[in-house]
Amino acid sequence: MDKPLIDVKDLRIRFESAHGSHEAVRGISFTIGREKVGIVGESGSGKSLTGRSLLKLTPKGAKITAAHMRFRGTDLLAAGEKEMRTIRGNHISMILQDPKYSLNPLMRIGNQIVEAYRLHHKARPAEAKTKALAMLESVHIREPERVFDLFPHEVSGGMGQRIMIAMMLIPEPDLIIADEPTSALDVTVRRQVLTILDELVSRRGTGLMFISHDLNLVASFCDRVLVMYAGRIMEDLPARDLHSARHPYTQALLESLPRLDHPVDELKVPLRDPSWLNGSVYHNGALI
Amino acid sequence: MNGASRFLIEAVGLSVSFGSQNTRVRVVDDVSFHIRKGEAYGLIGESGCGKSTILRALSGLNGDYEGALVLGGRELPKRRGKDFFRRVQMVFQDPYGSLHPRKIVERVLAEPLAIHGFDRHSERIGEILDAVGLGPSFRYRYPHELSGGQRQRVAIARALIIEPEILLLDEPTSALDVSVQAEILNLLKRLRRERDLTYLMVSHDLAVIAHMCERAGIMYRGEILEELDAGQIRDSQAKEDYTREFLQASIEAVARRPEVDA
Amino acid sequence: MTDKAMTSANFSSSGLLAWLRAPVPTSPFHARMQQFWIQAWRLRSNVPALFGLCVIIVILLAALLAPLLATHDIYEQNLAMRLLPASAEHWLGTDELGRDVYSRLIYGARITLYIALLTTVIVAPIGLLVGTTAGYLGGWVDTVLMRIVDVFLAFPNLILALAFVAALGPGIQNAIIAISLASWPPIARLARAETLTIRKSDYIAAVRLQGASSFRIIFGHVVPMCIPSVIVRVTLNMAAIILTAAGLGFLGLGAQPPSPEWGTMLSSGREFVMTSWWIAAIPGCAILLTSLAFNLFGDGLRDILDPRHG
Repeated sequence: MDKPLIDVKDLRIRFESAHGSHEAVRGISFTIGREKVGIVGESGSGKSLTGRSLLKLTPKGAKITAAHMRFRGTDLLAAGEKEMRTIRGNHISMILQDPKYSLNPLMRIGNQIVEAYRLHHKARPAEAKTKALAMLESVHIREPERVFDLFPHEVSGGMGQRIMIAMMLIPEPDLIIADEPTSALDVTVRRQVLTILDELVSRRGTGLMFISHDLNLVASFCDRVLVMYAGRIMEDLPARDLHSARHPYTQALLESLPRLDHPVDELKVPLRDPSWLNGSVYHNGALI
Repeated sequence: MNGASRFLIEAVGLSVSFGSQNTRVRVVDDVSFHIRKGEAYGLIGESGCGKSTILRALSGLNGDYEGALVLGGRELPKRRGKDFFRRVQMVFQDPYGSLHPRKIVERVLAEPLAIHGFDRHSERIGEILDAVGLGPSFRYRYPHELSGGQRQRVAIARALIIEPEILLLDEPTSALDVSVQAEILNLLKRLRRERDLTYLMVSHDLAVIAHMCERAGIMYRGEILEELDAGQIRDSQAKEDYTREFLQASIEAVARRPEVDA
Repeated sequence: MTDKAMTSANFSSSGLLAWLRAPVPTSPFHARMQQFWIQAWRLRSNVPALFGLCVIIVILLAALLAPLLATHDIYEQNLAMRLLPASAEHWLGTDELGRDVYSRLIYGARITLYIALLTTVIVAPIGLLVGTTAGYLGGWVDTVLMRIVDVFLAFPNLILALAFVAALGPGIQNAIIAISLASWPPIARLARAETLTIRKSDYIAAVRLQGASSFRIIFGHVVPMCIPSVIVRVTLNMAAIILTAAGLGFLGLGAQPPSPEWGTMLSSGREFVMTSWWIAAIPGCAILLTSLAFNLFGDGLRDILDPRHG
């Protein structure tokens, strides 16, 4: 197996506030290769922060420390802002939840894609436009010429997200970090967007870090799943083994979903065992 | 009392349009349904199908509709009065937006009591906080200090503190984490049983609707395509193509069943 | 600070600190104080804002303690001692009538703050009332109120104030009325803009669904959400008010001599600016510093009062 794209060991993220100091991420370690890794957790589990810390896009008061945090050999911890800027967008792209907020509402969609393209490739406007139309087609947008001239608010959420994916893939990054990319979308549209993402990611051998609170979604889409709780990774296992998860938290999450094929009177609520805060965690079904 | 109608809530030919003269769009198109007392009825569909619009028209937030909305056998006026609000309350989708950012929980709960002239404010507030699973330590907190689930509980408490008969639920758990969703759904189910409430619940999540409601109307582009009961939903028995497609997409998103440990 | 002093300081303040940091508030007052503490704590990191706050406090103290801090009688003229530069006797020199500049400066702070604060106290409620009502009720109420606001906004601030003072006659009270009339429209516009966003939110819908009257909604729910922006706006406005008051004083239409208002002092010092520059420069610097302080502090307030930060 070739060297992983991302190699993180003992990542810790701490916040200072009026109430004192608070550690949001408490010593997590993981690797991501050219595969789809899902990070699942509730709000407050630290999953979004983890994703953002790789790109050093955490909020101002956050202090990131780690034993090491590497992207293909580059030390991300030690990297200055200038170096991070060459990595961001180029080698590591990020897709956010709501395309309404990540697309510039005042620019036509086509122009945004062209701009993104010309940021990373030296190209003349006409060439960039052709490339942009090709990108729109690659995400299965049926009338790329028409959509090229539209503004973000004139397209649906699903289409906006597909456009975001197209834009993020232009520089042909090595890794994509997707933070709840389908949470704002309808169920049928979700499927479409994920299929496209899957296609593009597999075809190019791009790594994917898929952050979500939806365990089902992550399980069906990703190769590996990391379950986070209270700033730690509780369990790290292949997606197909999810039904035989060992950690009680993962099991509780699976059992708390209302299911069409398995009606219950009362849903099982994950009881938060305080021993989970600092207790044992599982890797590939084994206790560590 | 008023034995004229077997149904508590009825919609007859409800239509809602938005936009000005030239660009009027029919968001809800001639919808009719009925709900019995104590029943939980679901409206399910994708965004833009009109389900939330129906809810808003029923709740009294939007008085611009055609057709009739009937409560307990009497047609409702377009502008509702206090006695209507005493009987019908709503829980909103976004817990982060439905509580006033500058009011502590105590004030949020005291307000409806004050508006409707209830007595024993402090006691009632304590009772309802217990009923929704929040203790007295939450009385003096601001919304931003609460998690999504806790805020939604406060929203439910606020809706129930004036003892309504009917609760309108606008995707109450779609903005919440999966594990918190379970808590809130359990809470809603329990409260309905305990207080003999009638629910009209809107959602895009079939599993949630099947879990909570006895019957549901599948909506598409402003119309109710068909009505199914929970059993039919679970067995994927649908007549319309769209419904079948919808059911299929919802089922696909489910992971393999966890092995049950002894 | 010695070890002993530090421990005793920690000891006495730990009670208050513990109360402020308590995880569960025990009363509405406690809850509000905790929020205030969190916001004040956030101000710590904003150095310019803290500087502004300090200057404001110094000026406030100077105004309050003027009788104690002044060294001479501010009206007493001593023509033998006129136009003297700074000395041990007169810390900032004397003006053209032999009056002590330092003492007049201190007492002038009173007038300046009086004008600024009184104007604010008049302007903020009126602006809030008009803006929120127009924004929430909409329709013809909105149209009528906003056209009135437009009429006032059509005139430049100082011109409008001048016009009113010319009509009402010079003097501090009239200057305050004039400045107020010119300052309330922007607040109304601001409040209206905020209200238009606020009224679409779910928490307003929720309270409508409880059967609340428009009155209760506007004053109980909309106004509290507008207050932070209005506070920031009026703080930033203080600078403009002080400058307008100084301008009026400079033109002889505000505070009348021998009142030690800074603008008036500036005006009378004009003739001597070549030879006895301190008579004009000192009050000028005071005006500058005060305006700057309010500006910096207002900026800092804006950062912490953003409702998104809670």
